[in-house]
Amino acid sequence: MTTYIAVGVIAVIIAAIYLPEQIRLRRMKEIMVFSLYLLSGSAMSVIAIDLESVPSPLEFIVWIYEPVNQMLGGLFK
Amino acid sequence: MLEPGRISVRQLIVVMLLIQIGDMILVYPSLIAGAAQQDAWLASLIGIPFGLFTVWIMLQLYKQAPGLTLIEGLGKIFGKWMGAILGLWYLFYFMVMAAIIVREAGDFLTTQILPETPIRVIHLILVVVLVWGIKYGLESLSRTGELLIPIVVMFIAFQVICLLPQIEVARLEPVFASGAKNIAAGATLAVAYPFGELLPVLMLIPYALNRPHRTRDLLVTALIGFLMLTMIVTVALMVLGPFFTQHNIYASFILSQRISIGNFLERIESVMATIWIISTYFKAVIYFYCFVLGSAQLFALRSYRPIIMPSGMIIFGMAIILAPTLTYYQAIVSKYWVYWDLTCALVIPLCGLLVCYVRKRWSGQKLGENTYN
Repeated sequence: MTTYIAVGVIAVIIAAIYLPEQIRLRRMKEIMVFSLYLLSGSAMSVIAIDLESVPSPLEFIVWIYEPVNQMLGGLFK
Repeated sequence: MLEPGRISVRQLIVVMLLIQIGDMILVYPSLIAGAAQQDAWLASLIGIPFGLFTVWIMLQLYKQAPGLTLIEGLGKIFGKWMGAILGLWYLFYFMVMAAIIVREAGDFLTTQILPETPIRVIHLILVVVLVWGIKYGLESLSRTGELLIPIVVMFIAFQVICLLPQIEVARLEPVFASGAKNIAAGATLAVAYPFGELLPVLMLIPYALNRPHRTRDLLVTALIGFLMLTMIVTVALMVLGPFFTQHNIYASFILSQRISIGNFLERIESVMATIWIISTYFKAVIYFYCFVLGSAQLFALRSYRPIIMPSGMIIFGMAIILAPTLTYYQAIVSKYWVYWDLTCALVIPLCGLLVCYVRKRWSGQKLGENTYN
């Protein structure tokens, strides 16, 4: 619970610094990218601080390159 | 232009050298010795021409889209949609690289120097410094690099010189005993890690002044940085022996613990750790910069400043999410990451050059037909 509050407060502070100007200038694209990054960053920070177990993005890399490694006859063991 | 700063060729070279030394100075010996055992030094030397070829290909790709960074250039070379997909792929690469370097620094500090500190605290401090560095822009970053590079190079040389009394050439024998396949694997690692991870240079070149011989200077820099790494590998093999080098993730840290001259000059490993943190910070900050600048260019934002802090939060989270334990990503780094680096640094730029070549030939022929008619 403390984690959520702490990360939430930081996210709100960051938004309070940058968002008002972008909203005033009506830059929709900036607002969208900023919100996307801030939301995903907050979610990831909560996961990281609470040490939740989630699938690693590296699994994707392993999935892509496993056939390549096998094709090369297991160059790296 | 999103980045108002301009850097000189010398600053670009300094940044490139720091990226190449980066985290490799600590983990490279165990990685390459894990593949090629006592022939690691040989594999490392065999990798040089291929590595220089990789850097040359990258610089040739830049010449196809001069004045544009990698992300913009991909859009110009591959077209809008393919360029956007490849741009996202590179953004993912930059993000994961920045996160894994932060994680490596965190793991190193928690296992060797600060065993009772939670790793997240170290990550938080590192990410705050990363964000701080980016906020002041590329110019101040590269000037910081100019200030720090003499210390880094001096202490690496100092370490090697202090270890000279302890080397035993017999530890390199038998030469060629690990077999051609293992040496080839080691050479591939040598191409992928120190040379392939120079990719961020493509994001910085457009902001560097153009001087004659710039390509040549950059290639020579890559060679010098790589020779320093090879020297560390060779000394590690000769002082610690192949087995010990291979099974210590932080072989050069162990190496600096070995320094003992006249019972007086001892325990300098924490100085070496500081040097390593400096060069690792530089690699992380440049990759982080590439991620932030690349996102701003891919999504055509007017400025990259607003997304610096949210990206910092992403890096902070990603550093933990990437891998549950140290052994998990060590296994992936020594097995699959090589291919990923090679794809990003060699295969995609080669495809880009091919596309440019075909397009040039094709449009040239059409022009020729027009003049005949």
